[in-house]
Amino acid sequence: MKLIQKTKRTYILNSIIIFIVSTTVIYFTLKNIITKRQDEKLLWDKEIIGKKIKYDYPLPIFDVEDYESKIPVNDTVYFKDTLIYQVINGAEKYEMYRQLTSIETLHGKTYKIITRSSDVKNQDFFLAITVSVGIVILLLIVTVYFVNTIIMRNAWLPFYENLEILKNFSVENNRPIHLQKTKIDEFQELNQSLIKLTDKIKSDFTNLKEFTENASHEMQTPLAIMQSKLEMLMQSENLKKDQIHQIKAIYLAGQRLSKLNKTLLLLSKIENLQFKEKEEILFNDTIERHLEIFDDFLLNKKIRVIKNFATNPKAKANPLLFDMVISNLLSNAIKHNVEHGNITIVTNDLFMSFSNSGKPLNISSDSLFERFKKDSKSPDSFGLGLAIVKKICDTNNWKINHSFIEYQHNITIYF
Amino acid sequence: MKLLIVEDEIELLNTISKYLKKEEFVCETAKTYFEAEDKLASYKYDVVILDIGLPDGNGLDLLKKIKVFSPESGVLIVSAKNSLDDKLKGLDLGADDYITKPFHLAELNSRVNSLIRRRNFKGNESIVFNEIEINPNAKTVKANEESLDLTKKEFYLLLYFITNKNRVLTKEAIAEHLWGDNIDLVDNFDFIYTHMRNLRKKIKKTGANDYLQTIYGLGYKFGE
Repeated sequence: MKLIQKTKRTYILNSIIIFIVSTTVIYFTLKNIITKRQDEKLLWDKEIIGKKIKYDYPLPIFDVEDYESKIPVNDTVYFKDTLIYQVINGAEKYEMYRQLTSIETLHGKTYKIITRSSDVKNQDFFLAITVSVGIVILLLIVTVYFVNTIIMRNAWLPFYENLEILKNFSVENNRPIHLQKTKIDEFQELNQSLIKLTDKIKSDFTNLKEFTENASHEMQTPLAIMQSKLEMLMQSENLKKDQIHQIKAIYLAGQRLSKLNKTLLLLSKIENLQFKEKEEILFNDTIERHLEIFDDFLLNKKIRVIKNFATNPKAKANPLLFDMVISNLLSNAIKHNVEHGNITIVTNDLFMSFSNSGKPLNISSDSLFERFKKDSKSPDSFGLGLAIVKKICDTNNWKINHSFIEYQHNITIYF
Repeated sequence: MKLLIVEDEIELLNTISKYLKKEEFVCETAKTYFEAEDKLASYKYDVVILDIGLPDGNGLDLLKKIKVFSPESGVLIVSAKNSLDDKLKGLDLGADDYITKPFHLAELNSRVNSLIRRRNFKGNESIVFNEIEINPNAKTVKANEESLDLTKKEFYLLLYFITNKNRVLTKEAIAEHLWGDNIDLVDNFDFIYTHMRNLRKKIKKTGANDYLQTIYGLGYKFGE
């Protein structure tokens, strides 16, 4: 849930409760006060009637019930709310009355005095007060709500913009991040911390890259010494069989190490965007050239190549990197092919795809492009070929994907 | 032929010079920029093998000096950096070839030889090994005075063997020489046998000796 939504929700919920409670309180307080007043008035009236009976005896205007036949009643006074049937302007209705019933003994005679006052007027009155107070409260709540929303939106706007900027942040490109300025101290502080943090990440990343590159470079010379010494050793006469085996094992290990080193260097160079120059590349020509280079490998596995080329599709890329893409894809298609298999190459302006017959993968299509992920058990393969291809695609904003359908691996690059 | 090897790693320097001395090259060595500069000012060399990462100076500056002192010397740059920038800069400054560490000694030897051929004889001289004669420029081979019809790969294979005669050459070195960096991408060198077999057959057919020997566990050797 968004912060704004969360606060809005809490606000609305609390406002409703406050509104209900406050109007109820107002209603009952008013009602209480007014009923008290009314009761006082009724008592007062009753007193006057009582006095009239006392001094202006008898009083004929009132119906006086004869209580004589009944059991003498104690003096009582009680209030109650009652409905009285009335016909006003030809309309029948029941109206609410507040009624005071009092039974009193005056001059030795028992009187029942009932005084009533209409509730209608009073009820209308305190309803009107309650409603108007309620409206004022409601208006206040609504106004505060809208003002708050506007303030919140303005205050949070730079925050969301900055969030968007951060989402697009990448350590790999060298653009510094430009965060929106805000007048709110907390956000300003956050921005400063973020700028510091991203700068730190970037410099760490650059250091790491430089370290990888330098380490790889530094490794080249010792590797060269190892390899040349071994090659000299191989020239010696009268080597024993087990010596030969050991020399060969060291030699092959050295070869693998230097291959790995070269590949890592290449990857870091691609990452460092050291291949900047781009030119228009006719990729049919590049593919044909590589098919010729890989001729022996294709023949060795008896692989049939099916070409489905559009006329002169082209793309803008660094020629060296493009060569690498083609040679990696092609060697991949050969390496993971079966004897008497096939390779289908499709090119057009939108995409280029390499399909080859082969066995299903043991790893997922996505991890296929990760470094050191390999499906084959071959110890000579590092699982870096497709990682290089992916890296090149990434730096050129091309999309690459792999699929396996009917025993055909398919790698497609969309330009 | 007189060579100057400029390399700050003594072990590598010794190995290179030992390997090349067997090829009847006169090898001089220099471990530092200063030493190299000194030698270059005093003597003439046919080929300079130049490591551009020297402790007391940039090899590329030395390259500029070589072009002034003795413009007729061939220069082969050796670099630990497989960087295109260095390569282009080196070649722009007049280097003839470029090799990246680590390299096969046979490869270095073959590059030096081809450099010398290009420099001294404009490539028209034949290389003769007993009854076999190769013309690198015309890309023709004669065995027992009979012309051989070799494929491109067979031709370069033979040239590589003859340049590195009497040396044990590993499959890896051969593959890298013939297929370049792309060989890194393939895990099976079986096809080398095919080329080797065809080449042997073609040479033997002329009645020439089969100089190609398989060296147990290591690779191949061309020689008596």
